[in-house]
Amino acid sequence: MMVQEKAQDNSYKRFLAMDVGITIVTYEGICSHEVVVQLGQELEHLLAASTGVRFKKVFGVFIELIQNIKNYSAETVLAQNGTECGVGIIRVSEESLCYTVTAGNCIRKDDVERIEAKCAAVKHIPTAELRSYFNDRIRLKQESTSKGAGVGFLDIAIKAGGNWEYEFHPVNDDFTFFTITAYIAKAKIVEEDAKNS
Amino acid sequence: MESVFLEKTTETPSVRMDVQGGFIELEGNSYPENAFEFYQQIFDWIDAYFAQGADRIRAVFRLNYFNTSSAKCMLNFMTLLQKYHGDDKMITVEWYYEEDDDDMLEIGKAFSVDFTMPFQLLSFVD
Repeated sequence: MMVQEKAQDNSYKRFLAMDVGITIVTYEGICSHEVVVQLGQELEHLLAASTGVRFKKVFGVFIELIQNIKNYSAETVLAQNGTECGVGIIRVSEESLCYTVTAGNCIRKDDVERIEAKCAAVKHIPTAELRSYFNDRIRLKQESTSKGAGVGFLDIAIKAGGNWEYEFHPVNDDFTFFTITAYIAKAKIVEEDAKNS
Repeated sequence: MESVFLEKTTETPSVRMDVQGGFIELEGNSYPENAFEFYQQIFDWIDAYFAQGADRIRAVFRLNYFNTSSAKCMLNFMTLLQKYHGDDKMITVEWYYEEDDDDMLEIGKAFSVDFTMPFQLLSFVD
């Protein structure tokens, strides 16, 4: 489903105008499996040496968000490999104390309520309890419509130490632009400070 | 019954399924396009391995990163191994995590609490 609308252009413009520090990677377009793997490798190349084990959190959030676009964006195109893949935008950037991963894609207006409820439910969980919720959730039978494990937002919240947010911007009568932003502290101590403040 | 070796790719771990040695070892990253499909072939091998009379297996996980679909597969993996653990079969699990990788440690910890088979958490320095 293509969403070629002026309003959607504005969604991407708004996304790119967000102040999230120095950009490391920005990608807009089809998120096929090949793109996921290629961009993941580039990110590893650009970040792994400087961030060590914290890199895994940035990488993990990036993979989860880009696979979300691939599997759940309402705007899709047929990839070279013959599979229908989601279209969206993703950016990894760096600020003084954290890395930021932001992803945006169109969703159907009918799905807004369901996704918003899901996000709000995860947001409501105290940071210290996120892991036990995650462990409980993966033990539940997989949701039938889900291509993943249905625990993506929880995983992002864990890796971001609870520092994440989401937004919905209506595009037109049928579509809404959905963005998730996760902030991954560069050092563990910063994450704990952020939690306490 | 043959031993099988799956080469490591960027998004899938290497998998060594060794009949003579009685072990299975995974090493690398796991975020395949279809995690359930990727792990099913391993689960099928384990079923066949025990169907031909094996009485023990050592399962070694040296994973660097895995996505949430793979986490679900890891749980299915543990559930399958636990199913075989009992009076006549011996299962041992070694779960490696990089020092300071709290995500890999915590998910391993949760598995070690959930399952009664011997489960070791082992840290390594990259």
